[in-house]
Amino acid sequence: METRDLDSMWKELRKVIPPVDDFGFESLDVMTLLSLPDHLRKTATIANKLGKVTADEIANATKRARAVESGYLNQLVRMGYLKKERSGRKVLFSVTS
Amino acid sequence: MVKMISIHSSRGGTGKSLISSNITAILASNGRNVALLDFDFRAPSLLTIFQAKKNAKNWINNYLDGKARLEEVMVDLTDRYGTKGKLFVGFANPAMEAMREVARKDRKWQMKALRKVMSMKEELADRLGVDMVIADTSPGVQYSSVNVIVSSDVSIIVSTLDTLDLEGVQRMIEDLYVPFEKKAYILVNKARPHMFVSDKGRTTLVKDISSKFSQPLIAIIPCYCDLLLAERISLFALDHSDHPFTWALREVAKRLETLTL
Repeated sequence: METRDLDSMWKELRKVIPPVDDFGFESLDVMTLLSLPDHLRKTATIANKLGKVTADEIANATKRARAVESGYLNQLVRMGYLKKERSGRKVLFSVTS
Repeated sequence: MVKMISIHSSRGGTGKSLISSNITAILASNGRNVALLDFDFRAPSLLTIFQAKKNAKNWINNYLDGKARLEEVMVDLTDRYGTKGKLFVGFANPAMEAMREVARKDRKWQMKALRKVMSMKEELADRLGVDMVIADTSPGVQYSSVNVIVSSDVSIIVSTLDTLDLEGVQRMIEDLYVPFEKKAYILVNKARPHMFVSDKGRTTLVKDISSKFSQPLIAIIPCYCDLLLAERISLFALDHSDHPFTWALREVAKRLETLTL
């Protein structure tokens, strides 16, 4: 095929592939926060504010038990609002953006 | 410790911007270093109230877009008004294109904007020495106002005694303030004087309002014709220090100054 044909085919293909940033993750804007179950809202709001957090940091802010916050954070990961990564011995939760 | 207070309402026309600009002026006159922020991107009015078209080089919109620093947005009006404390104002862009732009913002942008608003009070304290932040919001439940409510330490909800307003405030408290566990005070504005001419009238009015809301009532401000007739481009509280409207807002300012977080 000619280069010109391939080039225009590629441009058409790019239009239908969603950008990587928008693919698969949920955003923690205030309307989303309002739609969350009550027990997750405080955790999610503080996680959004701090950006990258541990369960300890959230527990300090909410005054709830660390194990409770760990459960909530993992729930938010399963719902697609946060991602989880290890950094040495720490488990970090961050907003998916 | 820096405090952030938002001035909110369920509907427009309650006198929110008048109250936010005058409370700011009173606090700055009392020696507080105050920053007033215009988050009403759909109907920004502070630029007109403060006559600052020539002073505003950047907008809160630019700050939320990450295109301007806070120091570039905040206008120092201390010398113009001769206040004991600093008086900074951050303005919203009044251009139609800017309003359309805000209306088109997606959820990801709104999430980043929420994060920026949440860190604004500390940034204002660190960079400009501010100790009180007053945020003027859009009425109702929309992104810009909810971002500010969530970021504030306390809100003053301004309402008239119109049934539509009072019911709107009740719904808003239930749907927004309760889920986010945010504190609020109710400020009734433009109350018709015949309602509280007598002792019995005053007691009944306070009882009626208090029965509608579990949030504390911070003030009832009567409707004053001279206030309606006054030039909107001046700060009434600074020009009319002996007016009952100014006394009422001074009491509100005192409550806000002594608020413990």
